[in-house]
Amino acid sequence: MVEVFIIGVIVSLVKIAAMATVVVGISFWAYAAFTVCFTLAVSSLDRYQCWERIEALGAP
Amino acid sequence: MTTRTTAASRGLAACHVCYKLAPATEHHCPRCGSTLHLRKHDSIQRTLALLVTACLLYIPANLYPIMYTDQLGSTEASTILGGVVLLINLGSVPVAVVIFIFSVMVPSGKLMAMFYLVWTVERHSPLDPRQRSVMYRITEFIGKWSMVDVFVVSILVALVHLGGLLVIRPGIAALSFAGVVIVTMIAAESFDSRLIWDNMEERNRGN
Amino acid sequence: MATEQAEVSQGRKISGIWAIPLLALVLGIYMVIHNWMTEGPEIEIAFTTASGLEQGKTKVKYRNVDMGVVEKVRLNDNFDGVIATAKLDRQAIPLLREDTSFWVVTARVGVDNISGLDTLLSGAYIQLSPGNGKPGQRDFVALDQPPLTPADAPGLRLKLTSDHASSISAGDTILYKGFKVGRIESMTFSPADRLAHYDIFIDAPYHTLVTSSVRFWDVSGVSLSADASGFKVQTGSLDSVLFGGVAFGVPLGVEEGEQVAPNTEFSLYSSYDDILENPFQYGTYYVVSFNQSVKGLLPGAPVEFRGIQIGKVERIMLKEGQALNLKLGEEGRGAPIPILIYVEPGRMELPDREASVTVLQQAVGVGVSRGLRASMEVGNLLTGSKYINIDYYPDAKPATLGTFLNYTTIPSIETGLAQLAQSVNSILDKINALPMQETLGGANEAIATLNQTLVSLKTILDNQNTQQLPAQLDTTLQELRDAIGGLSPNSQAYQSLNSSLLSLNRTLGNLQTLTRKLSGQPSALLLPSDPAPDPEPEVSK
Repeated sequence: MVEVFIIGVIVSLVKIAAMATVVVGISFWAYAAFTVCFTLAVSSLDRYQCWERIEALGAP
Repeated sequence: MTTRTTAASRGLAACHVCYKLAPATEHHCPRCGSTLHLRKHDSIQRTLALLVTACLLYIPANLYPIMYTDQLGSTEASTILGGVVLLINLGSVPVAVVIFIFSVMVPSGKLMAMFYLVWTVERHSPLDPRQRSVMYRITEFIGKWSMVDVFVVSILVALVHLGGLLVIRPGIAALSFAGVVIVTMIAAESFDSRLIWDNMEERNRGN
Repeated sequence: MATEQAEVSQGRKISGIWAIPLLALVLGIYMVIHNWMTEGPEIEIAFTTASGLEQGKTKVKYRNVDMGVVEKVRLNDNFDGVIATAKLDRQAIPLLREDTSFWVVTARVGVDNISGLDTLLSGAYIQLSPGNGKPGQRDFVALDQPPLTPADAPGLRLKLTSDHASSISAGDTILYKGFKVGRIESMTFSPADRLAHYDIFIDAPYHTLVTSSVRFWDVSGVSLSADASGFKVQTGSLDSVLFGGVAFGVPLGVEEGEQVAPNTEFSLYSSYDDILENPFQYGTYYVVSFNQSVKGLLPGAPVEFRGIQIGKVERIMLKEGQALNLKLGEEGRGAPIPILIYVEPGRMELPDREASVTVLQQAVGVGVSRGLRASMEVGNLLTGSKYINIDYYPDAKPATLGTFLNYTTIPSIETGLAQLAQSVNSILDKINALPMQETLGGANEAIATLNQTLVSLKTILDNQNTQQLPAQLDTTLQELRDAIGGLSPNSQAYQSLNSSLLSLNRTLGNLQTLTRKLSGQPSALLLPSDPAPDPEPEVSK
């Protein structure tokens, strides 16, 4: 959902920019970077492997 | 293709959570402990019920204003479609396109796609299950993107609160629209895509 | 969806999940019904201008609670106004009455306060003020100015009328003994009756101070007067000095009246002194017509009853009397001049209220049949100013109350100086009628005769004999001296001569006086005081 949220933020900023001057702060870029990283992390996660490992840990 | 062996035919069921194959006679997944069943319980009925709910919610979501803009004493109510038109008029065509895709095309397309899938499964349609399977996966994937508009409204409401100068308030449609998105997501989740293939299996067996 | 057959054959039944769309449906239906139920009345308010009104934004408020919103603003059919359509809540229904008023609340800067500053940011709104009339009204006309007092505020609404302009305007204060107890809500000048009309509001609990005998007077500004004791400055409270104000109170010596009903009309006096001059509120008009000169009778002249002033002369109704005058003038008696008088029962120690006027009218009605008449008297011989006296004249010719235009007339009688003047006139007439011409003729004749007499006297004096008279007299005197020589002072002859001489001497003296008088004033002979000319000189000769 974070990627959806960052799109929402961008759209909101564009909308507000029509009404007022908006200066994007550091936090926005940080959050954008977080989104990218998080999305990549989630997509990189191998759930099968993950569960295999969990099972392996739980077995002994 | 027709001679392929399925887990179900071997009396095995895959866990929904950890994908572990376990005997279908088990009630719980031996690995993660979640409930185990061959097919999602009442999948078609649940999906259908949620789709109907989403349809009902979709009516106020489009008719009522999604947000009110109080600017220097004048209130402007904007609906989802009205907001798109307004954005085009303001010149923000890319944003308008994004909003249009995510807020209009995606939810309505998703609803139609889900109805179609449920209908074909219930009718034991002979149409290409691969295509329908792809359709289902796309539907499941893009569902959450409809939340963009809800986020936009909530962010605007939270950010723009400048006393009497400019205030943005959410409308009933925002809640309804969020409901549509969430309910369709759950509906997509309740739909068991394996049913698409089950039809084919049945037909094959029948043959 | 799933038929009963399908349920049986495939072991499927209607899932509980259907509760969710059902719930959504119920919620949807509820929303529709709720919307429909809470759908309030739609009202139309007429404004002169749409200033401050915005579609879908401007709210209608009552006691600062939102009652609805303006949905549409459009021009009226004549393009001379604006009609705002407002959708109100259901709970506003009982507030919509015949006399419910609406007005736009915006920031206003008044003389004594600034209001509605919050509307600068939030925008103007329409204020609703419920009335007391019949409910069910849906079309309203908005007020241009917000009323100063809410329609339901406790207190008393009154009306004042004034025939003089002053600095009083809406929003000014009403004072009672210097305390602020109310305010002037509106002021209009009506061209119909040429009076200024004020609507005033007295706040509770002060409205109990307003009784039927109170008077309102203008306390605007500063009153400066100078008399023997020095300067006198009178002012009201500071804001009444600056912005004008009205005070009220019961004048000295007037009893407290009873409570008054709302919207009672009072007249506004220009000052407290004005009230002292006109302390009574109730009175009635009469018309008195006089067939004599009204010179010296001025508006404001007193109307007295046996010496007590009971009213005043309002004016001489020449214009109104013209029609009547023409008619009466034809009769050849000249035109009586109608005079409007104003009589106040309060001046006769009657209570100053409406009922006393009726009592007075009845008394006049009865009185006229017993000889009550009006007359014009001279009040001041020096200035000739007159007043009207009303009294009983039992000997007067019987008369009744009449009517003149809308007024009752009291029959008049000519008395006093007017009568005196008439008798003087008649005496003068008699004098005029005396035979003066003949008298003068007789006198002229007498003078002519005297002239002749004098001429003959001169002739006599010019006579030879007369010329010789001194010589003869001299001789006679010579003889007389001789005779005197023979006469002793004690003799009888001497005595008689002496006395004769004395009387002659006196006679000559008299003659001298007469001649002097005659030479200075020949007419003296004619004067009645002096008897007809005496032929003394001739006698003396």
